[in-house]
Amino acid sequence: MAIIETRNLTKQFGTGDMSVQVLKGVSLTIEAGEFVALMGPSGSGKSTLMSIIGGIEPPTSGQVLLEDIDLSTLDDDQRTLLRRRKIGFVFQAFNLIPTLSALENVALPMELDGMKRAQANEKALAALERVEMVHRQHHVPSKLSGGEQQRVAIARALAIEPVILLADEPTGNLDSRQGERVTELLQQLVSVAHQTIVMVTHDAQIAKSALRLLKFRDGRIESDLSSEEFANNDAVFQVSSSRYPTDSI
Amino acid sequence: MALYRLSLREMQKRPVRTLLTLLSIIIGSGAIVATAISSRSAQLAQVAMVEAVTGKASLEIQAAGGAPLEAKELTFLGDIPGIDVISPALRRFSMMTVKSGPSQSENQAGNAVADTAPPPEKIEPQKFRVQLLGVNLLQDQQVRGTEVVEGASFDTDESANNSNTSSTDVWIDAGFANASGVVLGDEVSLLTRSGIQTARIAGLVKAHDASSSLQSAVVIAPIRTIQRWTRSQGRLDVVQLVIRDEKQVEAIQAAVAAKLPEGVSVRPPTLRSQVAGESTTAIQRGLLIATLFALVLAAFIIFNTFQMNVGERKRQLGILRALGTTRRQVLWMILREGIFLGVIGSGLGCVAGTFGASVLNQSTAALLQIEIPHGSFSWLPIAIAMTCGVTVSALGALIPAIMAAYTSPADAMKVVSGNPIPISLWFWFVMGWVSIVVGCFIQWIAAIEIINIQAGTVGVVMIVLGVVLLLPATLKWLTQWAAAPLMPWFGVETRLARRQILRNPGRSSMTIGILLVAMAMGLGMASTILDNIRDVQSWYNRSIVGDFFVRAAMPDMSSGNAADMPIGFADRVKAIDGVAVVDTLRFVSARSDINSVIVVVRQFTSPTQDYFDLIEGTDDDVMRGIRSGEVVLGSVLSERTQLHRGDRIELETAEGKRELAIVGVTNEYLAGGLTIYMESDQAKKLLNVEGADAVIVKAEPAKLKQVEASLRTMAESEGLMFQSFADIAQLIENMINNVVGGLWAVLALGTLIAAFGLINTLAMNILEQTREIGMLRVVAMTRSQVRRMVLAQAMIMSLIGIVPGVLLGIGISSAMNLTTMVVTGHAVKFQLYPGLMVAAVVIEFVVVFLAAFVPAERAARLNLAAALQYE
Repeated sequence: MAIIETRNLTKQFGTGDMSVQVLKGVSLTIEAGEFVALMGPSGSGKSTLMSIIGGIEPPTSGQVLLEDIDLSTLDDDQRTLLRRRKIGFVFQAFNLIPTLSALENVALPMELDGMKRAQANEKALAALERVEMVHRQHHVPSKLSGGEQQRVAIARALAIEPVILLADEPTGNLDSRQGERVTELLQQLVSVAHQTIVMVTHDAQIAKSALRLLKFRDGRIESDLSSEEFANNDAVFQVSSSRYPTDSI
Repeated sequence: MALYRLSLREMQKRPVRTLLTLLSIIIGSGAIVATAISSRSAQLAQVAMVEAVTGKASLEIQAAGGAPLEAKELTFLGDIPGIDVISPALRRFSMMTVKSGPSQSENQAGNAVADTAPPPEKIEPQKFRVQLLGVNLLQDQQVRGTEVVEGASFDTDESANNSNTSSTDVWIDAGFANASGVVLGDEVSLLTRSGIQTARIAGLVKAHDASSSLQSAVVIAPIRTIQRWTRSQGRLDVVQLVIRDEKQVEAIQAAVAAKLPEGVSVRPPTLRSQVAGESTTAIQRGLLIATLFALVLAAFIIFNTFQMNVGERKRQLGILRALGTTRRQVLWMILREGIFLGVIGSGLGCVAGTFGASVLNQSTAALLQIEIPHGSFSWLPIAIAMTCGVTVSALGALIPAIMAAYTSPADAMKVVSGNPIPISLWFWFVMGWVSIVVGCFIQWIAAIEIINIQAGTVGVVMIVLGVVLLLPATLKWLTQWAAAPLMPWFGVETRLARRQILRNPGRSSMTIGILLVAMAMGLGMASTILDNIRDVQSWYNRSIVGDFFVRAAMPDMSSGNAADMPIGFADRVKAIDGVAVVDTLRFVSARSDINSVIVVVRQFTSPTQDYFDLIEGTDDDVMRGIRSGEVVLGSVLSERTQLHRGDRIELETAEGKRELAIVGVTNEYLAGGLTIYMESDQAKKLLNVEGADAVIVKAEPAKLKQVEASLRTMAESEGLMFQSFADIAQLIENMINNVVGGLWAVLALGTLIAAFGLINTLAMNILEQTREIGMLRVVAMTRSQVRRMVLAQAMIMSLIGIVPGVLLGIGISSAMNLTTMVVTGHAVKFQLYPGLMVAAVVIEFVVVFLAAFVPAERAARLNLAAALQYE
């Protein structure tokens, strides 16, 4: 079953001579339970595609279907509700609310959706347990390490039981050890919970953990490889590795 | 140089933030300029009014108690060397009647007695209260700086009496002519003791160094003409002496005094406009409070702005420090930005403030019923505003700059950090209490007159400032309390809003402070205004008794002087069928020590005490005492002389010095409260005063209508003004409304400044939260929820500001009432106005809602992708 389907997506920023076409007719399908890594150089369109899939910004043309719902037919509030109930986000900069504790951060989307506080906390606690952060539930983000903050962010995304989890360079701000832990966590989510994940990354080693690799260049999908195909295709990684370090700082 | 570029780029990169910072400074410095120019204009107008009455004379010769001077007894003045100009004058009040023509009907003057527009088919004459000023025209020109701007010039040999002018030629003030619709060559009728006189407008004059007082429009004529009209041949009111060599003034005063007849004195000019002076004091205090609060608000806003500015750039500053920028360089970079924005903002504020001043001047003009002099522009307020604007900006930037300079680079570069500017809550707590204690002390010593009453205003501001400084330490508890009412409806949004407020207690406190100050100032000033209105109403309800009043003209409220009434009028009124009681009222000028006072002579025919709003003395004692020759003092005179019930007051009268026992003190506004009430038979015995300036009539209840008709006919036929009690009450209400209108205008300005400040601060708040709001929108929040969250922030802060704001407002009002003792002679009674409080709270909520609406909408419509990248 297709969770995400995009049809001939284009995205243009600016107008006239100053306009930049970031996406040039991207069509793809992501099935349930897939773990897709998006790779490519800066400006190739992968993060923009992620924003459009997540309903954060609209495409210039083309369609995005999430579980057969055409996002372009929804107004802002409907898109917000869709994000709230069906999409989990994980950002490179964690983007936790600094004034809320870990537990409150995770419970927040559910509370905003009208869930009782006790019930939201219960679900949040369960999500924190999945990322092994229960012991830090009452800490505010400034008291957590980067890896811990990212795990809380993943717990926040998981708590709503999303149909798809969108992760934009989730290990970009983490050291290699913490990055590995986050990657393992994402792999477990796919293998154990059959969670559908789309992840943007510059890190070839982390991309290897995905089941499918979409390589972007100049606003188009350059290659679409399965895990078996790219595991044996060193060229993919040689290009990537020459541009990006395999270990994050 | 790189740091200069960095600062500049930073401002360009954040144009909205830079504009909001500039706006804060513009608001602050603009308020200073607006209020300072208005204050200065009011002061100039006051000086001009005083000069209009006293002229430039060095000395003034007057008889005690306002008795007339005999001209023949003063001929020796010409023999005394050193006197440059001798200018005799005779003043009388009169009614001027103008037949309405096309020019008049287009222009209804503000002080027209009959100000209803005439129907086109019937031309109604218009009446104006005027002061007849008889002078030697050329001499008076040198004393009062009068210049003929249109028409016949003053006679070059005026002392020879009218070689060029006819005996009925008069000159009037050009401004008054414009207001009354009179043009050159018009004929007007003047009511005098010799009956109605017809005069021709021969010229229009303008006094260079004096504002034209609308209350005493002047009709100038040669002194002998006025003497003839008023049956005062050979008599003068005053002789003014101009002595250009100031060193000779004392010697000449002694020489003149030696030759003056008994009962006549020579003194430096008396300031007869004491009422206006006291009014100005009240306005000055109002304006000073508004200015100080504007400054405090500007300081709050600027401090807030820079705190946010530095908080947002913390990471960037950390990088600079890591790259080798010294603490001093970081500190100066932020300070320079503050000073730079201070200079630009203050400059723009001065321009905005100058426009604002014209609005305030109009209010002040309405309050004093004067024309604010043109050309009152001065560089001084501009310099003050520039200095204050730049200083406040630099100080506002200083603490954030120090914080930025002393933050460790490693800590500063963290992506997520705690409070961007750590604030020692205890420091603010202690400073708050120090400020409150010092403020209370200043207010107390001002109330007991150890220091100037104006200085007491600083105490009020310090108390308010102290309360604001206490907020950071108590904010956690206060937000919990204030958020409670919102929780049942918007639980999550309110919780998020509360956390955001607590994230930076210092900045949130400053925002609450803006609301608190606005509420305290607004409620305080409004309560004081209402208390004063009530006091005046209480006065006239007790003091102005009778069914009908007949007088030649409205008395001059600053001097009590009234136009002459025809002889025997009171007797003719008594003969009307249905008239129960006729009381006469007479105003007599006198002097007590250094104070010019008005002796109000009247009959007290009622057996009960219906006449006074007593502050000291009992009703029975006062009625018994006043009939046996004792007097009742006006409240201001009692305060000035420190004479009270049981004391004796010495009065210089035309009949010599008189010592009078004081039986009571009454709340008084007539003649600035510098009055002495005396029974008419006693006045005849002691002061040789007869006649009436006004007649008060009580009619038999059954014949009220009949008496009214007869009286009205009689008054009209003799050119007199007829008024019922309702008319008088309406007239006084109108006067009060003028005063109140001016003060409301000042209050509105303060509210506007606070609203701008609030919009500015909330907009900055939202800017700072851009990334978080973006993230919340991405993961869960609808636009409506974002709006509710921002509005909840504003509501929580306003709820916290309301309670102390209302309490402080009550305190300010009470303190201001206490300090009115100096002005009104008694502390205006303080009263709580629940309706006003509710209105103030509602207004604050409306202002908060409107102020929060734009930032809330902006937050709701954030570009999510861009917001997530916002740093």
